[in-house]
Amino acid sequence: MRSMEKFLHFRNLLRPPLLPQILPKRNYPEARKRSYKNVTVAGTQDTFEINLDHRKLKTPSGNILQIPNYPLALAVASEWQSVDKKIIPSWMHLTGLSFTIIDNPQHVSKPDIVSNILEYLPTDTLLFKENSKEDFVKIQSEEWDPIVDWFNKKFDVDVQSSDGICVQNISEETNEKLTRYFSSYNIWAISGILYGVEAIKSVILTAACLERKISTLKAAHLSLLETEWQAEHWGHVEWAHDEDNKN
Amino acid sequence: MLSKPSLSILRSFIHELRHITQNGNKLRDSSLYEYVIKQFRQNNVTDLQHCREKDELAFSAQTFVTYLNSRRNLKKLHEEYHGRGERSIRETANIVGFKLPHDPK
Repeated sequence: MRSMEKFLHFRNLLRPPLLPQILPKRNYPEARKRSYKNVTVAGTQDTFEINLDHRKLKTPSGNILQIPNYPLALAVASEWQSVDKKIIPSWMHLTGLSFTIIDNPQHVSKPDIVSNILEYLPTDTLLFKENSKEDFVKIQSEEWDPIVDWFNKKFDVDVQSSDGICVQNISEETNEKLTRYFSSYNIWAISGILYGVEAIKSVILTAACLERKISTLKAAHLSLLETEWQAEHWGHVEWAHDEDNKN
Repeated sequence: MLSKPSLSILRSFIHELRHITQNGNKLRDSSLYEYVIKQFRQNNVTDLQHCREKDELAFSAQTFVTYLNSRRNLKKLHEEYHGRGERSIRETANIVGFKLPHDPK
């Protein structure tokens, strides 16, 4: 076996000299491996903590993860349990959301979150129909119209679909009513709701899920009615909803 | 007896749970399982009447099951289609029959 050194030496000679400034360095850290065996949930009536073996689960800022709700704590624990070998944080949505709520790195308050949610209403997916294909127009009306009508009736507002790409004007009154509705949820629920709204880009569909009018699966399907996405990405991002449902 | 939709939700839930149960422990020992079974039993008592809590539970359970299911499917798809990265230097050397400088001869 010839020495590897000669091989590498020749290989380097054949390459043109590359300056470090030109070549961007990719420093993707290797995913953490699962180092714990058991995941348990411990706590009293109002606060629950998650233990990986004997260590308490902490947020990125170093705070201990304390969840006020037992089912939610169980759900977060299940995310850690389902880790096979590598820990991939971007797939652990409930954990990520819980971390964000506790650490609150951007110092958002509940009214901030509520107004963020309502910012999605003028550009709600359900309000913008595609008018070019006959068949599709029919399907859209059948699927989307009942939900929009339900929404208007339930919240006593009048949100209309628009033609083309002009953004809808949402009246002050509508904003007020919806702010009041969303403010009734606590900070844990509202963060989950915002996540869901951002995932399916529709406040109306999210509200329909909250009121159990449609299932989350159906909501994702309706949101995607027109676009083509890989089913994997869309399907799972939506399910941050259950945080609220557990509450 | 639980109504039909609740039963199927429960079944899917147990199916999903099997995939995330920890090594060595049985399904029945996990706290998530115990909690959900307890919830279903509690809401079973008022089966005859139209019970709002039961609907809530069924909906929440269904949502959670969808979540677990989607997550599992995502993992599978990712494993199947995601690239495996570059070969390590050792593997590259092995292709042409070389050994690394510090390996024993």
